[in-house]
Amino acid sequence: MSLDQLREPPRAAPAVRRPPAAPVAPVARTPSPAAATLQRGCAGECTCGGTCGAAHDALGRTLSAAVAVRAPAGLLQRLKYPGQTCPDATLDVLHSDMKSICNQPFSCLKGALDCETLNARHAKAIECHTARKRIDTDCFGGNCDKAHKDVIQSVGRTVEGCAKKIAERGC
Amino acid sequence: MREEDRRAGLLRVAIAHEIEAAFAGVPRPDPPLTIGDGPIQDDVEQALAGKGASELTADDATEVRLDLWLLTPEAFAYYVPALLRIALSGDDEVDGLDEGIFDVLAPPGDPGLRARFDERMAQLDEPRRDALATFVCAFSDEHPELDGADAARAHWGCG
Repeated sequence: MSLDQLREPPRAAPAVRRPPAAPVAPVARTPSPAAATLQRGCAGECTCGGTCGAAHDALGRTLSAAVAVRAPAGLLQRLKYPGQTCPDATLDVLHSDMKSICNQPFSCLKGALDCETLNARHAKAIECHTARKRIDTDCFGGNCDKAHKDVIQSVGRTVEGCAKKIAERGC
Repeated sequence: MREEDRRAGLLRVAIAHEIEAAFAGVPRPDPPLTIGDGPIQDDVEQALAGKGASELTADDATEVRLDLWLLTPEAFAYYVPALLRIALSGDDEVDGLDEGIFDVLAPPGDPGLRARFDERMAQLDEPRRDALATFVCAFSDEHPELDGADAARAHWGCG
């Protein structure tokens, strides 16, 4: 594509329909029937392009509030993020695990890495990719937040890059 | 140091300077610096909070290197040149930073991501796009095996 073509106004992204969200991860709270209906309705319409937007966020807050009202005393809590389906404590653990894994080196591009290093980095890249996906699947129902999915895909490309290099080198 | 490596190092520094000069007038964006809402966005916000581009450290770059698709177009234009300086200077090695920057400069196949890419690029004037093209072409020359290298070379008009 030429630089002139870049000057064209950006095209709107076509909405990508996704299947309804997986059942909400086990949380020690039960939404009211009304809240559950809200949740199903939103999940059915939600796309990973973020098209639910403010309406989804508002429904998510309503749902969280409805869930919180029915929760036993002592479990009352507001979840940190819109669309979150796991308790904050679970998210904190997964997030902390992900950071400790992903902050280690796993790029396979630098210099002439030997086969042992390439294989180790490939394994680390897979671990990081898995840890990021796990936050999405375990704490966001595997649905919504296109931005989060984009950064998962980005690490996926590093995994593929390592695999390609390993294959090329015959490791 | 081999002469070839020394030249490659000098070329990288020259590219970083060209990019920083081209982006010199970009204003510092107000928060939020990221798109969406989640723990990873919070990490990026915290790493960049209140920091001018020249204040970014290798630790900050490590924190955000995998998450550059989350930046708003304004934050992208402001912080990516500084991240390229860290990636290309060779002073502090930040694993995967150059790869992460290349990833956000290669035109994606995914339509949603492509729209974000186009939105970012549409705000850049020609000298800024030319400066980024210098990096993309040099990096894809060095790593032709990278996913998206061919698409990037075609998009940025690499020879």
